[in-house]
Amino acid sequence: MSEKSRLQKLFEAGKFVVTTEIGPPMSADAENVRVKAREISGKVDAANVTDCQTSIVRMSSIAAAVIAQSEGVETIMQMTCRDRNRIAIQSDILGAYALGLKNILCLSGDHQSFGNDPQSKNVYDIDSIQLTQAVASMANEGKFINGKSCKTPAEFFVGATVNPFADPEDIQILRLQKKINAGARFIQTQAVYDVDRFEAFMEKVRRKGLHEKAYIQAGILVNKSLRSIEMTAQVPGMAIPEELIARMRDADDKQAEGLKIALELIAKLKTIPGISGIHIMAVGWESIVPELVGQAGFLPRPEI
Amino acid sequence: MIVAERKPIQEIADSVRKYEKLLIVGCGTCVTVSLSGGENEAFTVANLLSLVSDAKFDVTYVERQCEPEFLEKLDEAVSKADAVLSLACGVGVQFMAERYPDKPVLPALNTTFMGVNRDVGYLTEMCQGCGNCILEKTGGVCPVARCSKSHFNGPCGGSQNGKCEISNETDCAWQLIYERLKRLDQLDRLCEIIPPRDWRTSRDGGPRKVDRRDLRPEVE
Amino acid sequence: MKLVIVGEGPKLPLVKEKLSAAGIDYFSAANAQELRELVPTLPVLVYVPCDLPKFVLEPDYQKRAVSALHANDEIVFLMDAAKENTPYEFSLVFDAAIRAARMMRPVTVLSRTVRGSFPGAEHKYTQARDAGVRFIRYDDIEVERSVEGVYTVSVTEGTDTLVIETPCLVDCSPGSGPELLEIAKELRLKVYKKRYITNSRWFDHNKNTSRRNVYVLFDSDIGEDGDVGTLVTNLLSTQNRANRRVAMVDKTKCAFCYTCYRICPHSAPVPDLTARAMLIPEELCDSCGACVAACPANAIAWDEPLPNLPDMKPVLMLCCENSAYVAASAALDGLNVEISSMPCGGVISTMEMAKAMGSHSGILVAVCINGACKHYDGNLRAIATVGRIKKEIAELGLDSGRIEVLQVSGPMENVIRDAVERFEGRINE
Repeated sequence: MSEKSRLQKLFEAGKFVVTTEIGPPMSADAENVRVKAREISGKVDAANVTDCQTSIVRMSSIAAAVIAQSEGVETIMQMTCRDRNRIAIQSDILGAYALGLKNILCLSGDHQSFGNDPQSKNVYDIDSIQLTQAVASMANEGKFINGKSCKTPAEFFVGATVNPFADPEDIQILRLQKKINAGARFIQTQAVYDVDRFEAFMEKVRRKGLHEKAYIQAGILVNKSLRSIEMTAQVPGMAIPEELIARMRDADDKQAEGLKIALELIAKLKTIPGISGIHIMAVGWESIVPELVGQAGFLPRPEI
Repeated sequence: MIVAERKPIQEIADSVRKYEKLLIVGCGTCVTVSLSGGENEAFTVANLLSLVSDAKFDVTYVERQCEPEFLEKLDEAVSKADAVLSLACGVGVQFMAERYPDKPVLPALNTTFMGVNRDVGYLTEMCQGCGNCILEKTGGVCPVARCSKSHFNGPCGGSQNGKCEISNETDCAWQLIYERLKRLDQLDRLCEIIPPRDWRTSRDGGPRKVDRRDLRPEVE
Repeated sequence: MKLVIVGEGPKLPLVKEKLSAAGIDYFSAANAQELRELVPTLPVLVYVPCDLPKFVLEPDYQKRAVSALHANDEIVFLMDAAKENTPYEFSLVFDAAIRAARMMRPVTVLSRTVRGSFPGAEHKYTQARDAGVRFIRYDDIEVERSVEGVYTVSVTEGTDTLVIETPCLVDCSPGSGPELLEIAKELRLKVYKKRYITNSRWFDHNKNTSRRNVYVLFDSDIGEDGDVGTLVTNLLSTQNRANRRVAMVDKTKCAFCYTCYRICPHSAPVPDLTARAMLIPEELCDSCGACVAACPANAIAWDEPLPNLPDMKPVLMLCCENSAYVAASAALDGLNVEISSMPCGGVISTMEMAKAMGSHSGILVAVCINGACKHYDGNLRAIATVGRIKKEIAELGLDSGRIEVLQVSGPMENVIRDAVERFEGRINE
């Protein structure tokens, strides 16, 4: 058994974990990743590195994660089922682990119709739950999907996602349960704006004891402008109370208001029983993360 | 049933431009029922092409272009034509091409999917012919064909108000599965993790065939 | 004479008595299956009981209710599906309105169409107006009821909105009732707004439904002295129109796809499960030709073929015989246009039109105005088909302006002449 990831150790030590995201560039520019990594170094516990999010061609999550780690930021490599079959996925998992990545987040991936290449063929050989199970069973049992043993398996700390606001509502809790049964050890939620609805969801989570089986991080999205929050509201599976959009609309200083809303949400979310951390998404406004983390009182980050 | 759509007339006109005698053949089964390749449409194509061409267009149809006995009836007409424009699905076009190796056989349709007639001229995809049916587990709604991501273990996070993330005109298959199972009081089926599929039965395993030896015993 | 009778209501025994007296042999279908099977072979009479509110039907009740109102309280009669209200119902509502107006209360009748011209209702309409009843036609309506029981009714016509507050809203737009709707479903009758059996859109008899050979009999037809026997005898004898074309299915070509079954406005096609083909019983066909145009297998044709489209003149004008042909024959003297009549706009097919485009420099398809199609949607089908041809010929690089569609009614001679002159001018350019 190789050494656990910092993220895993923090969770296991009962620390309130703060993570954010690094979106790889639509280019081969390594410096771009380094700059982003340096900005958040020491401000968060780990950073997700997205896998061609919204189906737009970007630097691979593995490569970008390796670059970010060279700047001292632990990463959570995102892996989707959209672009690879089980051969490519497992091959990438082995390679990523060999390069020193230790955390993985298993996703189905946005449909390619959202991106710049809607003409492309999607794969979906396996779905996100099957991916979770595959990565977990490699970590725990040293087995490939086909059941054969792997001599030096990749022992990732496996994460998955849940969207408490998608439909059918009842099924989302069941999906969460399935993901945890499949081997997910930590869960990142879709961005939360509707705290009441999220509370109700967490109530169900607690009733099933799921928060004791996996560490649950509440997602937070920081909006920079009215347009940003309006665009977010249009994303399928996103629930934003009209009142928050109105606040952005009426605010003179949109950035200050966006930050204020995020801070208020964080303050509420971190007190919800069963929440083990916060995951900050600052799409198009990554530079705000250090300030947000500071103002939320999350600094300094704990050592382990 | 196999559902098809007629190609844009300009594309057809371009593909047949160099032929002086064209045999246009409708197909009387699936594509007639899906309103794209019956005799009516075959005449429509001929009449439209006549507006921009002096070529000779003969129109006929057979019950199914995917059966050798039905194609036999076309032998003579095909021999007199420079080329054949088939209004069958891709199966019929290929079967014609196989039968008439010296004649160009051109497609007039785009074969789209296997689906149902929900209303006149409104058809939706239901099956992808993956070769290993799991409808028993999913309340009779196919996640392979009807979920945009072919998910086996529940909806993705993009399902909202019963619609798929790709378009609000597309039903979320998992919403439908959920509703069916709920009605049938079988929601517990959703708890089971369905393992990765064996896609060999699908087209991924290479071209498939059905070989029923019981129906064709070999006589010494 | 034999018929099947369906429907339930208080006057049904009386109906049966009168039918027997007139020597008409009636019986009921044992179940839905049998009813479906009987339709093509026997006429069906659907008995529709009147279910207007007590306020209209019982003058004494109305008197008490009106007395309880304040002097300025408005009484509003709402006939929300006037198209399907029978003349009898109109006449009862008019009576009630007159009674209320004579009790010195403000009275308004709201309806989607004000039909004062029904036989029997005409006189009452005038009387009601004289008594001070206000008639308002509207397109859209919204009704809200307050906790105190006061209704706020807003009706809109075009851009005008009128708001009326009333404690006394008399809804005279009853639905056909669940049993009748069930029967309508079995008989495949058109149903308006999921509530009313739709009348025939043709004016030969208001007892006709969307389906030939299926008739409705209202309470009003019965009465004490109503001669049901003669009425029904007359109804049944109108069904055999001489010299009309009917659609016929070639069983050997039929793909059994149900397209005709689904689109026929008169629900004429019935599946012949033995032959595994559709069958169109002659007595159910209303000769509109929608199926002839739509059959993907080209398996449906007229029993006697239509004459070939004439191609002597450069512009061909295809006219619906129910509207445009009436206007065109009078208006187009002297114009260089070939006029051809067709039974309904629904008869035109892409196949035939593409052919006609080859022999004419322009084609004008003239069909009924919206809502006036005898066959419910033939005009809309024609518009859609012309749209498709325009798209196809534009793709081929031809001028899509060579085919146009025009909506007219019989008296619109000037409109049709103007349109044809404009079209001819465009074609000759």
